[in-house]
Amino acid sequence: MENALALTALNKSFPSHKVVDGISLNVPKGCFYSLLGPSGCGKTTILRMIAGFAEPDSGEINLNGKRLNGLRPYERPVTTVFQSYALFPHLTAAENIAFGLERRGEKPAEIAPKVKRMLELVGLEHRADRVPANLSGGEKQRTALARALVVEPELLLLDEPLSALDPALRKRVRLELKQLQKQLGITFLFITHDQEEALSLSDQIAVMNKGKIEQIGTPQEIYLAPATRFVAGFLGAVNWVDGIGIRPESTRISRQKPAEPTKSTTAKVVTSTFLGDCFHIETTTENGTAITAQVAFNEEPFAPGESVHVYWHASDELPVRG
Amino acid sequence: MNRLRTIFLAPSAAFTVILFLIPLSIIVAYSFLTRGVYGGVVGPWTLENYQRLFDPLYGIILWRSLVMSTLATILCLVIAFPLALFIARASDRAKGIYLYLVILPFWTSFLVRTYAWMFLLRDTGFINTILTSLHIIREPLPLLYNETAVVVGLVYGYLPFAVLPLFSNLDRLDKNLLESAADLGATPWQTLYKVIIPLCAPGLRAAGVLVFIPCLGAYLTPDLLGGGKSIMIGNLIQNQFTTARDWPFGSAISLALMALVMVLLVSLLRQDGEEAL
Amino acid sequence: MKQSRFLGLFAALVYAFLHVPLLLLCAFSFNSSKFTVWEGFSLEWYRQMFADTQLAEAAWNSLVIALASTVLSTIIGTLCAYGLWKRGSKWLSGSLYLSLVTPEIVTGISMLAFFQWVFRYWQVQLGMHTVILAHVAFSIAYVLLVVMARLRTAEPALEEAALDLGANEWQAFKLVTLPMLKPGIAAAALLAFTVSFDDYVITAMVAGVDSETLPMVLYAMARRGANPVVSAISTVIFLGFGALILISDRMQKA
Repeated sequence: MENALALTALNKSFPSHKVVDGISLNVPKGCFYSLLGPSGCGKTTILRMIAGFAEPDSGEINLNGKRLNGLRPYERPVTTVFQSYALFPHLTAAENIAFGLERRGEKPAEIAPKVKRMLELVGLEHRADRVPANLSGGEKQRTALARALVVEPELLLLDEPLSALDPALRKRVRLELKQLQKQLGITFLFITHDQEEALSLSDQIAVMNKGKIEQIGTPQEIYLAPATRFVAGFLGAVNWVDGIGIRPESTRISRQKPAEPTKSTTAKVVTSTFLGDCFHIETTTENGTAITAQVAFNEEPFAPGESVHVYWHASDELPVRG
Repeated sequence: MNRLRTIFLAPSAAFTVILFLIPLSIIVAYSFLTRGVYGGVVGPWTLENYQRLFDPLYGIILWRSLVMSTLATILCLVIAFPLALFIARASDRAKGIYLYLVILPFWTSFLVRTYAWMFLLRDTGFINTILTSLHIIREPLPLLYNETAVVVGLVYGYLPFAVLPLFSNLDRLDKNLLESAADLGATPWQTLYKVIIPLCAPGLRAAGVLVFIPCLGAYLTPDLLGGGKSIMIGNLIQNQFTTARDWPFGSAISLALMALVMVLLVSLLRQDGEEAL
Repeated sequence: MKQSRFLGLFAALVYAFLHVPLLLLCAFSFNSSKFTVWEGFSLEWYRQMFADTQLAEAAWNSLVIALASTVLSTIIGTLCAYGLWKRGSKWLSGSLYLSLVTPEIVTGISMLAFFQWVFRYWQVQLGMHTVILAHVAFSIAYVLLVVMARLRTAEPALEEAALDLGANEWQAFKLVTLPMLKPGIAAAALLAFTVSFDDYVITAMVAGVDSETLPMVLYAMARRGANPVVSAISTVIFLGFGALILISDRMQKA
């Protein structure tokens, strides 16, 4: 597939430390691409360099074959959905959406239908004349999205756009966002520290840590075959038994020694917590390794102090290299 | 962006350099020069103007300025603190009105406010007229043109400078803290001494400096309410530049005053950081 | 929290201290007697005030100076605040804050010394122009203070969003930041107007024969002795500023 965005050997240092350390990555056209990593890993700095709010110390930023380095933010065919939305408080939702079109010198007659179509697309026709202060959190988020999309950017940058929403709303908006991206076919570069968000939305994910890329791959590849211990741990809970990683949901517990040819060890139950759809059971082995297992709730509950066998299938071991 | 920023800063930078920094530099230069025969400024370079600051004739004026400013500052703090406490404890709606009432006289002309005290204090003024007509006194009391009148005028003029920082300090205090102190058996007075006043140290310092600085440089108040007898540094400077026509000495006094102001401000900033202002 | 009786009484006394002198002054401006004994209601002093051509001229001068310096210092100070908000400049902000705490008399004599020095080489004299220049110079710092306070609460991402959507730096300032700053700029202008209209110390130093201002005339009248006309002028100034604050308050709320 043809690449939209290509970052080559990007470096950026702040006085105290190096925030972006030799980043290279390619974002295919029409892809929903996520940069996933903990806060301070450099993902926001990368976004700011692509948008033009910061310049890299070295390295290249190319978008559809055009070099973006050195261009002012308003000269780049890239728009951003900000974490805080950054809606203009003195303008209505419709005026916010029209802002970018006006800057491109389009005539009011051309702008009006585009704004109207965009409002319909994000379901805000009835909120067109409200200023941001009178919009709900979800409506603000959709206005910010509409404002950035209406100018038909070659690349849309999204800086943790869901983090300001409450959890219930976040899941719904996530679905809408994914549908919108498929419908419009615009390339999305999505910045997040929430692994669930990245896994559920993305076509491809680059996991970052301390200014470097740890792994690039599809959500399945990254979750099931993490390249490094960091990736394995960042995407979900992991039990580390003699250097081998197993996810709690792949870990089994039984009172008898398992008959199947599996890897197993004996352990004592420390706590058992009922989570509704499953039990969360923490155990320790004789040499003190902590192993957590998630067990379906229809089984007979394990009690703290009970001796058990902990086992798993070799095929469920995470093939972590580093 | 840098080009736009440069354009935006250029006019203010020009005004600051031409009408503040250069004039101040001229004063610095003058302060090391000698008064000419007809009042001009001539060579040679000398430190004599600074030595004259310690002449008892002028020293007493500097000393009086310090004493009166200190007195006015203490009075301002003593008056402002309970008032600020009162406002901080009021309901949110009432707070706005109470603060407004503190600032309101401040928005009228300083001259008008000073004149109001001349109107009250002069021999034929409001207070003397009332007291005479009630036969409490036969001769008018000499209320105006003395140091007391000047201190009253200074307190009146700069009280809002003390109320506002103290209010913002008190308003930020956790109400629960005050209530829990009472719960633990502290009387209101103990709460005040052991809890509120120590926590208000930054506000008290800021209020003190904000009142003391304009008091020290006051010109109109001692001039109108003090008459010729209670003049302060500001009047001395004005006098050197007009009647006495000794610009070098006037410049030296100005710089001594600036130095005092700077020392005060720097010590405040050292203590409380930039938030203090 | 319950207010203590003591605090309430104390506050009432302080408010009396702050307001009664001015209220008495205003009240006696309507007294028919020249003395501080109430004899009856009269507008005599107001009639005299309006008949005084020197007073009218001074008031006009003050108004012209205050308006000119307000417009200039508000524009210059706002641009300065914006520039410093983008990236600080220690020497400029330091100098401006220093000018704010410099005693007026020192500012006055240093400007006088400066103008005298300049006029040795340039055949110009003290007048309205020097007063306006001086007022702009000392008002910029007040405007900076008020507008900067507003900018500090602003969200930096707003301008980035504007640039991101294709606005250049000037458009981002004009279309996004400036509208947001409006209330702050209005408050700054009001403050600049007040400090200019009220100033005596600096003005008296740099004014020429043709540029006598209202505070200068008031000062001269006040020094000459009791004069109910001064009370009348005070009342008008008092009411004028009161109205100005009320109007600006309403405008900010609207």
